[in-house]
Amino acid sequence: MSSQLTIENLTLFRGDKCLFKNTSFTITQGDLLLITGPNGSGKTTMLRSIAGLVEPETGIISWNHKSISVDRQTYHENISWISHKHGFKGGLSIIENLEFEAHLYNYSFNRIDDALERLSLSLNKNIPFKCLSAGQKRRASLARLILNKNVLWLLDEPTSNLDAHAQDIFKEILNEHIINKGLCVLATHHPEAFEDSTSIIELS
Amino acid sequence: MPKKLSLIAGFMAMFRRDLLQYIKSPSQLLNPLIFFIMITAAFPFAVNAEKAQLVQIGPGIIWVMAILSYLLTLHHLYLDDAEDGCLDYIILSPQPLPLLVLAKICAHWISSGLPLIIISPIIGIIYQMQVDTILIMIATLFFGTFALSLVGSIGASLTISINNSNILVSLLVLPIMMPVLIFGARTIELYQSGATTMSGLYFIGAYCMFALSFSPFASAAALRIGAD
Amino acid sequence: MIPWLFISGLLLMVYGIINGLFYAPSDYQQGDAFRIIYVHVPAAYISMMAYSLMAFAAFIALIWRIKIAHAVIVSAAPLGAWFTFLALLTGSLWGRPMWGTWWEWGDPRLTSELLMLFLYLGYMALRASIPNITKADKLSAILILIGAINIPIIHYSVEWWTSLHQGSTLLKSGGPSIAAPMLYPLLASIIGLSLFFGSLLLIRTKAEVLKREKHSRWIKDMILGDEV
Repeated sequence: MSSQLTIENLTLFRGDKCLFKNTSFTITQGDLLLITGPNGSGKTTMLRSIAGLVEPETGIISWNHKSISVDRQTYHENISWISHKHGFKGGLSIIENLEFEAHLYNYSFNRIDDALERLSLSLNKNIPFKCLSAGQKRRASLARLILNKNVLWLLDEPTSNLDAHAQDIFKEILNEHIINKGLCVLATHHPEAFEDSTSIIELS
Repeated sequence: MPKKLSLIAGFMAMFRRDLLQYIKSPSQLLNPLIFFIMITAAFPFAVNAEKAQLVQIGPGIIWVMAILSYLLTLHHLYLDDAEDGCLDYIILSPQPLPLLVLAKICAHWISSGLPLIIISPIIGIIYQMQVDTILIMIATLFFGTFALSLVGSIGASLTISINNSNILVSLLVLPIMMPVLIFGARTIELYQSGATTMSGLYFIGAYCMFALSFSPFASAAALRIGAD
Repeated sequence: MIPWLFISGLLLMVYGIINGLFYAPSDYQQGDAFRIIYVHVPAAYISMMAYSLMAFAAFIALIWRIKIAHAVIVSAAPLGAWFTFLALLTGSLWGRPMWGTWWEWGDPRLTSELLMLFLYLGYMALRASIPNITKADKLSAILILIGAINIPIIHYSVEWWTSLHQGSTLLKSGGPSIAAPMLYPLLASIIGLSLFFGSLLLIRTKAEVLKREKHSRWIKDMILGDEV
């Protein structure tokens, strides 16, 4: 069965300000959707509402034709979420952080070493997370994408703080995911960096 | 072939991570404890420190101050996770959120409640308690702090989106905790005055179970709404 | 409908209070001091009714996601808090001639009324500190429900605690039977004050709904329709 994410009539206010109104789209396997717009235009909020973290004013988000408010768990089993916050504990090392998530997200932690190798983090894996540089932190966060094999990626500014080399690695991983019939919604203010996107939503 | 999602593994992972987290930043744990010792030791300076009087006010002071210093630890429970983004990953995991919340509550109790119970005999001695009274006090604190962790979790989860939530958590939690305070302090006092009834202790135990039945669900619901 | 409710409430209240204060026979034990019940009892009754109403509305709002229920809770809370305060104030005034003190910890109703006030204040404090309205709505509704399931426990623990104090409260539960000339004004003032509360609640809810829906089309239509 092919996977499909459908958004219908999504409207969201922040205070009195309307961020977006009646946004609808559908993406299926192999699609890369970009959400762009200047800072403060609601990219993050839209992504969070797609993930189900923020409840929209109106609108229905369905995964495989089922509203996520009905079947939240199946939806969660299928998404990989990367926010602009890293979501790692500063006092713990990358390995400790990822092993914790391995239990929560149910992936095997034999693969953690390979993933860190690919993101060239092997040397830093036992250092407390807070001692890493901003780029290393971002790379560690991206390790999640390699580790759990979920089909829908929701990424918020995944390339911020990355150097050119790391950006290439990320694009390579993203391309593999799209070719392997994955879905991806990506919020960025550099849409030109992702030429092969299938559709773009522009927020103002 | 993906392996089956293990709830126990999820619970244990959350529990272990939080404990590790507490162990690695001991000042978060120690400061409230030191506060507890200092403030209970300050009372005999402020009031007439005759033995009979200390015995009389001891249970009340120990319980009020235990609650007060415990409340200081509560707002960290979810706020840290909300600030560094971990909360998103916890909410979005396929594990049931109330279960993970319960794991966090247990870790909090082990790291904040148990040390408090362990040092409480020292305070008991300051307040001229007999050994058997101290045992009763430990028993009431044992259940009482767990109930505090459970109810406090609700207060902490309701306030994650608020800066400076420390006092607000106390405002929300204190009226609800009043029964535990009443029964906790009264049980010790009754025992001191020679009554053998343990009904207060049973009550706190029952209240614990009651709080266990709603706290994880209420906290999970509040976290989902507050994660924004 | 609001003016009718308001006027009938006011009439009943005036009838109840005037009769209570001037025509009802004075109590053989308490003299004229008892006349404060014509304010105290309705206020205490409404303070509890308001919280039950809020809990009911919170339940509806969380389960069926009915927006207007949130507006009802927001509007009812300050009213409920004021009536609670009024009940405390009159209770304390009454206590002065009866018990010889402004505040008697031994009376369970007075002390649980105080905790009730704390619950109201906690609710309003939580609301006031969350800027996002929808979030504040849901989080505070959870708090209301948690408070509501704890109210019976709080009440009985306070009662148990005071029963240890002394048994000499004038207010026995059940109460002494009350003579008809005293009873009717009391009933009238209870119903009158309730209607008064109801009409204030409706006015406030209406204002709250208008404030919340200021962007929606039906309000524009309504206002423009009036002008045409």
